[in-house]
Amino acid sequence: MTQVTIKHLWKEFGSQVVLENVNLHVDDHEFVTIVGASGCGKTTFLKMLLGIEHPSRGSFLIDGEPLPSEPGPDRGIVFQRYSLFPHLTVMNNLLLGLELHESRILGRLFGARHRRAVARARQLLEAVGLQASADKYPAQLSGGMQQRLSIAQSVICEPKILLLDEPFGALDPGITSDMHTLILKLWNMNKMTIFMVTHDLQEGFALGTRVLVFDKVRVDSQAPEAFGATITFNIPLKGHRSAA
Amino acid sequence: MLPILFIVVGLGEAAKITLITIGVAPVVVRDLAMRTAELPNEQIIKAQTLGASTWQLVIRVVLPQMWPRLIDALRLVLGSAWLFLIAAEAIASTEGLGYRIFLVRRYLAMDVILPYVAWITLLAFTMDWLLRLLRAKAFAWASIGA
Repeated sequence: MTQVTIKHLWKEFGSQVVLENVNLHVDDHEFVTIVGASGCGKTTFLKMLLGIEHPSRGSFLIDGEPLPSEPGPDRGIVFQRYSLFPHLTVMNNLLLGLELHESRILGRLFGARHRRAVARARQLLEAVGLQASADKYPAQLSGGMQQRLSIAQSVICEPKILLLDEPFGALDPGITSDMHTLILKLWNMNKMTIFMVTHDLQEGFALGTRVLVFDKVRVDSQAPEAFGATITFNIPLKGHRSAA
Repeated sequence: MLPILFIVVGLGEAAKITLITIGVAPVVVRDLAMRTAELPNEQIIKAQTLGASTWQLVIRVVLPQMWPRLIDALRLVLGSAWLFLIAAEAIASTEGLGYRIFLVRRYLAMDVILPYVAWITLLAFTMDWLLRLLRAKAFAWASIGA
């Protein structure tokens, strides 16, 4: 069970208020999509979930515990770009998560443990349709394949929460619908909670079980930085899970 | 600085190696530090979310990506490394190409000097070529156009 509870959250950079008075409760195995104009704090919100930004005020709890202050294995992330390791093949990119977990000092597995890890990685490669490219390097893959690998790389660690920062923003529209099918499949397989930032409203409604809209409620034209954005709409969508 | 160096480590091969190291290492170190800083932050964060500790980040993510950069840096400083070698040999040595060139310099014996210069060029070029070959063979991923 993973529950995210946010109460009276504020985030400020100096005198600039980015987020103000954000309240939210997210249940286990939800697919939360976050939409909003650019510069409204969506990405800052995601960074706080990730642990690279910290709330200025308010509480941000995962399962009743305060958010850890660093990124960790319970929260996976897929960025728009640059989240693969260029010096590792597709297979080794996927194995990396398992190797880091099981071998604290060398970060590598050998013998029977290595074979077990490879077998597991191969299953996931098939699930994301990359089994034919196992020995290629990331630079030899197309953008869509790279994102599929990046998602698989996070999922293999079985994170409680998966964070997606506009993961399909740089892809062709044709590929995007394939990616939607894939992410829903993985979401149902692994029973994790997903937070996804997107600028595509349609995508947000198509995928999410809950859509959050970030916007500024108050605007002071003399001092645009005085007020921050908050969740203006929190829309639960029903009947989506069975369809997925 | 050179006299101190020769007093401390003597006049043999050790002095030459020390001089080259002292001359070249700062550039290589600075270059590698800058290349490390250039690694996308996303990669480091991603590795942390895969459970990497600081140590694991170093040995599985950062160092493997620095090897080909190290070879690039070495190729760049190869020229100055040769300069340092010849300087060391010219001042305090009893053998080596640089020593011999400086030995016959006073007679302006160009028939001896020019072949030596050609030898130095050939050796430097071969070293550069070998380093390039090593980079292409051992770190094929770094040559794939991204």
